[in-house]
Amino acid sequence: MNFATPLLLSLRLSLVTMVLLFITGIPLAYWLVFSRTKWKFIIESVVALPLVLPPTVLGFYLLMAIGGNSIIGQWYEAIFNSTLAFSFQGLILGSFLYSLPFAVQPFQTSFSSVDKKLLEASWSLGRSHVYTFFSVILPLSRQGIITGCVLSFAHTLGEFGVVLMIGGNIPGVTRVASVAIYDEVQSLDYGNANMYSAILLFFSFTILAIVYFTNRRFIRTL
Amino acid sequence: MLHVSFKKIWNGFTLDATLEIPFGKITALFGPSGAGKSTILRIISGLETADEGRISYGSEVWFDKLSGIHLPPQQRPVGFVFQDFALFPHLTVKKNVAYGIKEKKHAQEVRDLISLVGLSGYEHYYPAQLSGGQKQRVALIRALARKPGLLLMDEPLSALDWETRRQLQEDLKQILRQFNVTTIYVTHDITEMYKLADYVIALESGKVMRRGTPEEIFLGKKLSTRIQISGKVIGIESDPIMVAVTVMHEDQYIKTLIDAEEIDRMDLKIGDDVIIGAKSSDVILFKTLTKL
Repeated sequence: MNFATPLLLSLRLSLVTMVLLFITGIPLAYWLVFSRTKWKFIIESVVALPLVLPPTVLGFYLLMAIGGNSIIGQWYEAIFNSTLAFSFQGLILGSFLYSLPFAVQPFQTSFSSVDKKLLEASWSLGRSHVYTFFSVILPLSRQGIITGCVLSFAHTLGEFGVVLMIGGNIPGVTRVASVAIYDEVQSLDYGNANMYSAILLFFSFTILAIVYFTNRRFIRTL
Repeated sequence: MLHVSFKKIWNGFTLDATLEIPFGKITALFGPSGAGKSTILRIISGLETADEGRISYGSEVWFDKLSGIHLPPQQRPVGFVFQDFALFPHLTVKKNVAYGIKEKKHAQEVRDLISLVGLSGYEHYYPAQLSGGQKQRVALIRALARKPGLLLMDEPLSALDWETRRQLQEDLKQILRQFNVTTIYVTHDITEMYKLADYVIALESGKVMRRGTPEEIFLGKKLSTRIQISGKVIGIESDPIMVAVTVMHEDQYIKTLIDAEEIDRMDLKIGDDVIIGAKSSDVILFKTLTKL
């Protein structure tokens, strides 16, 4: 098997997860910030759950939920003629849930830190909530959106427990970089394990450095 | 005529107000902070909802608790000028002003508005690059750009220093006259109210106390004097017969002598708002060489 395959798989998984989180996380975060329902805290807790839950717990229940014996698993198999568990699509689902708070919470923080007066100014100038969102909230939350996307990307890249539980270790399909490291160590190939680890370390550090650097510049220009 | 009559209770505070705002005039809502002035503006604009009551603008009903009518702020032809300007920090002066204009071709209109408040050349500046006075000018024309029937101004000058304030008071008067827009102006500054308002509604702890022209409200009668200067008492020095009262009017101090009994009768204290009146026969007039 090619050395680069697990790395490319990790990158693909992270990218797809980030895009999905960007698309669904923004409306979810908007709802969490502006909804007045008193049951909001339940959704908030669910979103934050992956922060405190052992990845194996999430992985286990996901496996139960999407496995061949579950309704979702059977339904998926009937439509796509393949199993959701132990597939790349299954990994996307797991990563999506596991990285949800890393995207939604920065979105939420940046939406709620937009001055309420600006929203009122927009409404009193005759502009709808949707127009206000795209013209005022979103541009002023740029930094939070970038942070959320980058963090969810980096977090997916480093995920291990959930991936192993629901994806297993199938070369080229579900063997992402973090799983490959574990695999190499199991077969006592420390050299390769070190290569993967060093690349992931370098990548994660670079991403975080870029985020903190742009955040710092952003604060200065305000 | 804008008819406003409503009740709102929150945190044990009751705001119970009935107001009639004449079209085409500047009406000041005057009163101490905490009297409910800003909340009245917010309720008129639709940013807040009253517990009961009715708001009608000419023949349009904006709010009626009984028949369940509540127009959102977007549908009320209202311009709102906030105390802290509330300019969009990520948009230039030009884009801020154009924000509420829905017509496609508005470049010329925006340019005219910007030049009206003397900000030509600042079109591409961001709010953070402007002074307080400039920001409030932008906020004013942004609100007027939508051609509202009603302009609501919530202590628009209180965040500015006195010199900027004085200049803006003059400009405001002119611009509001030019647009001939019905205006409700919240202030607790007596000088400002005198300068701008045609009509005053005085509020205290959630209730309308008095209404009338500025003179009627603050003097109880028409003055026979020709000159009136409003200001604040900043010093009272007594000797047995006469008392010297120092009044500050903008950046000038005016000292005047008053009978000690008068002081007692009025219960005059430092910090009181007063009006100094002078008969025209006593006034000396000089021509100055340089125009200010």
